[in-house]
Amino acid sequence: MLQVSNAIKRFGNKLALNDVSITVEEGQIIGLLGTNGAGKSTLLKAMAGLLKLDQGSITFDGASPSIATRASTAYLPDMDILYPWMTLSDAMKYMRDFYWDWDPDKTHRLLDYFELTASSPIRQASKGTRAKMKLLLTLSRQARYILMDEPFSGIDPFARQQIAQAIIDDFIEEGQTILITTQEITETEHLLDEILFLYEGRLLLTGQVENLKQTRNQSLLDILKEVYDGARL
Amino acid sequence: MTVHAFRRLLLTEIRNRRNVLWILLCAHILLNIAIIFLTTHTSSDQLSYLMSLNITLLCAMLILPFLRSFSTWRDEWKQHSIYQLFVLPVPRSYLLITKSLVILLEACMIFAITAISLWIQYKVSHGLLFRAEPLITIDGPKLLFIISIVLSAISIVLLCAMSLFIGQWVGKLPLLLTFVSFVAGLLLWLMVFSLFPYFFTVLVLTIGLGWFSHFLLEKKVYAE
Repeated sequence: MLQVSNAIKRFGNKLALNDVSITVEEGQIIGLLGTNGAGKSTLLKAMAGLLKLDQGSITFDGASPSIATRASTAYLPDMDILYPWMTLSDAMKYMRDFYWDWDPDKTHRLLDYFELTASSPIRQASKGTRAKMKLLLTLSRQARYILMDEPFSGIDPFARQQIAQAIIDDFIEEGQTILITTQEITETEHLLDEILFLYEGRLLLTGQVENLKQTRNQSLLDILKEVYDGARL
Repeated sequence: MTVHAFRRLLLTEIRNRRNVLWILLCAHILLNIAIIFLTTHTSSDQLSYLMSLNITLLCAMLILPFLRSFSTWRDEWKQHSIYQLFVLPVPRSYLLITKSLVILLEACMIFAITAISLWIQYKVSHGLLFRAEPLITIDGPKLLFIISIVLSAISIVLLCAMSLFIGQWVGKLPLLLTFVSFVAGLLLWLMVFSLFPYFFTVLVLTIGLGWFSHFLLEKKVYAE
C-alpha cells in the first residue's frame, strides 16, 4: 500500500501540493488527473524520491522511501532522462544491471509489440518512438509500483488507446500498482480503477471511476469539468 | 547486483567522457612527441627551458579533469539524467565514488603519459635533462608525500562536488554559491594545512570532505 499523508510542497510562493493525502491499494490502476500545473508530476516525483516534501510523508507498505522502495518502484518521467549517447540496447543493459526484477522475455515481447529496434539511438528517435522506448524500459520490470508521468505524450491518438489497452491486458502483472498522470481522459478512463483529481495542488475529487459515473450519471470528463468549474468559482 | 550496479555506473561514467578523453589524451601524446622532438634538437646547455615546458603542459592538461569535477555533476542536471541516477536502487555514495574514480583515472592517464615522455626525454638527452636518482628512489617520507599528493587530488575532486551540491541544495543562484563555497573550502583547506602541515591533516581533510559530500548527496540534494 502506498500512502501519502498531508503532503505540502512549495516552489517559491507557489503551493504545488496543498495538504494532499491519498492511499493507493495494491493492484489498482490510479489516474492522477488535473490541469497543467495542478501538482500531478510533483506528486509523482515526491513518490519517486526525486524531491523532498516541505511537510508530510510518503510510505510504501509502511516503510519510508529507501533503496529497497526504489528497487520496487519503476518511474517513467515526462522528459528524456537517459544519456544522449545511449541506444535502446545500451539503456536495456543499464537497467538490467540495476534492477533484479528486469524481465528479458518481457523486453523482447515489448520490442516486437512496439516495433522498436534495439540499436536505435534514443535521443535521435521521434517523440512517439521515444515514448514507446520509455514505456518499454518501464514495463520490462516487474516492479510493484509503477509511476508513469504522461506516458502517452507524443504517441499519436490512433495508437494511444490501442497501446494503453494492450499494456494493461498483456504487460501488467497481477498485483502491480500503477499511478498514471494523463491529459487523455476519454482515451484512458476505461483503464482506470480509480481517479485522483488535483487542482492547484489540492485534491478535489477521489473515487472509483465506475462508482463516480454511476452515482452522478455522467461521463468522467463531465464530472471532472463540473468539479473544475466549481473549484474555479 | 551491487557489483553489477557499481560496474555499470563506472562504465557509464567512462562512456560519458569517452570522446573528450580520446581527444585529450591524443593531444597530450602529440604535444609530448613535439617536446621529445625538441629535446633531440636542443643543445645540452639549453635544456633547462624544456622542464618548464613539460610542467606547463602538465598543468594545462590537469585543468581539464579539474573542470570535469564540476561538469560531471552539472551535466547530470542539465541533461536531466540526474532523475535516472536518483531513482536507482543504489547508495548515492556509489555515484560519488564512481564519478571521482573516473576523474582520478583521467588525471592518472595524463600523469602516465607525462612520466613516459619525461623518461624518453631523459634518455634522448643522455641523462642531462634532470637527475633521475631522486625520482626513482623510493623511501618512507617520499611514499607519504606521494600519498599526500593523491589524497590532495581526491580532496579537490570532492571539494568541487561538495560546492556544487551546496549550490543545488540552496537552489538560489546555484553557480555563484558553487563558486563561493569552492573558494571558501579551498581557503579553509589551505589554512588548516598550513597550520598543521602533516600527512594526517590531509587524510582527515579528505575523509571530512568525502563524508560531507556524501551527506549532502544523500540527504539534501534532490533532482528538482
